[in-house]
Amino acid sequence: MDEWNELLDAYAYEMEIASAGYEMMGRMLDHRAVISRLKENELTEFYIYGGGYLGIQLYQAVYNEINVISIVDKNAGLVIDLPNIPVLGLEEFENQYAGQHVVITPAKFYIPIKKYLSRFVPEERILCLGELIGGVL
Amino acid sequence: MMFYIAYTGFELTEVSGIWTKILGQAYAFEKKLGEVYCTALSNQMAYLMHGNDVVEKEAAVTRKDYLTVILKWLKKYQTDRTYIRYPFADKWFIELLKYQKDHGIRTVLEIPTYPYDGELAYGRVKVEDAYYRKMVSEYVDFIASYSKYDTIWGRKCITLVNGIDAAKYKVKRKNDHVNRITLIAVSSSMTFWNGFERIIEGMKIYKQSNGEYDVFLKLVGKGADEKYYKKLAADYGLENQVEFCGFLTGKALDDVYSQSDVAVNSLGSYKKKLEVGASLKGAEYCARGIPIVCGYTDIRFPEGCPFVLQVENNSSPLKIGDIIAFYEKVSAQDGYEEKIHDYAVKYLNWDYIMQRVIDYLK
Repeated sequence: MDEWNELLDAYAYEMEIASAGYEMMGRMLDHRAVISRLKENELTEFYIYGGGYLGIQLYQAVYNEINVISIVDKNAGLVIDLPNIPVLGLEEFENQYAGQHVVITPAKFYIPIKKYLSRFVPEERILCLGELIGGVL
Repeated sequence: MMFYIAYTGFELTEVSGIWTKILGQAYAFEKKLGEVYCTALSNQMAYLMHGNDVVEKEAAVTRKDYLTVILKWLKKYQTDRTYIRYPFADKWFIELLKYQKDHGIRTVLEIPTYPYDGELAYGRVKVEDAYYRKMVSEYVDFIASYSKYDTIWGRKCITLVNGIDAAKYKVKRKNDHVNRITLIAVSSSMTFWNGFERIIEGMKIYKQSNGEYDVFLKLVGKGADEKYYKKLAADYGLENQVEFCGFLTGKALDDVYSQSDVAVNSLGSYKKKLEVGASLKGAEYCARGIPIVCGYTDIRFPEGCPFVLQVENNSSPLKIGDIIAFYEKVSAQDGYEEKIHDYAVKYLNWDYIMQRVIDYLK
């Protein structure tokens, strides 16, 4: 029974993560709303953490309006081959980081990524994607 | 320390008024019970708030994440009392209740809508809730709801009504126009249970009967049924009489109220199989000193209340002639606006409404 419960919990967790990602993908289709959030919060440049679909979607939504310095990905690559988008690996990113905001896009790993980044990025400079799209910054 | 645990986001303030309501309740608690922090879940982040100030925030993508954060904060702030706005039952919610019981945290559970089956679409949430709601009463001693039930799930239930901070609302003054009436209907969601099509259909019938009054309607808010209302207004040739104002706040909203004579509350409760209620909007109308038309029994007002016209709770078109007669009768009394507002100050303020909950949590 415990094993069954664990399986159900894991299933529910994965489903909610997928659902959260889907919602964010959808909300980023409204470029005007995203840009308006950036302006409201006076964000003019940031790094995007995560070379998955969410990271790319965020890049596409904002790159015309603000300076996306680079996407940062632990594999130094994107899930889709898009040569025009700059990508950095973790080491390179850590070496060049100079106090800008970093937006974490993989919902499933917000907490461990934030913990990792906190080693050299001030906490108030780390944003989760949901927070950027609609929370209090 | 007391926590008000909510599962909603404060970004809804302007849209739904839910956060305004939570703040109003929390403030009433704080006056009698000491500092109150509120938790909110918004855009995959958990927030701990004091009023509108963020005390702490943490990522919380799933319900399990949110539970983890809440438990951490309950411990950190040595919380001994909570007031929870019920979000529907699931495993993580039951774990929160269990934790509270195991740690001697006294709690009151607010169920905003009861019965709420009509609000749940078939799907995962409905299935989870059906399974877990049976466990809620095991961990909760006291329930507060906006229903007329003395007990819910075998637990004693305090009846609440939606309240406001009445002093914050500007009282509208009587318009001096003749043979003209303007209705206002405000909705945060403009959804099917507003039933505002009944007003538009009523206006069509009144117009066809060559009624003496020019009748206007101001619809404030945005939502899924707005298109439907626009189509009805166009189909009935009422485009010049029905105005779609969109979301309004502050002075813009005050101005629209000042141009209106009668406010219309929900007319579609029958669609949710609800007979009674106490909507926030109704309280706001009252605080603004405007006569109210309502499609359900609003338990905050006594039967025969002179400034509330209760109409049938069904799909029939609104009888505009009845509304005009009602308005003329109410507005014939000197200072009727102040009298309506005073009622809100006396009976619809959160301090008054939450007193029984406060007594329990003391």
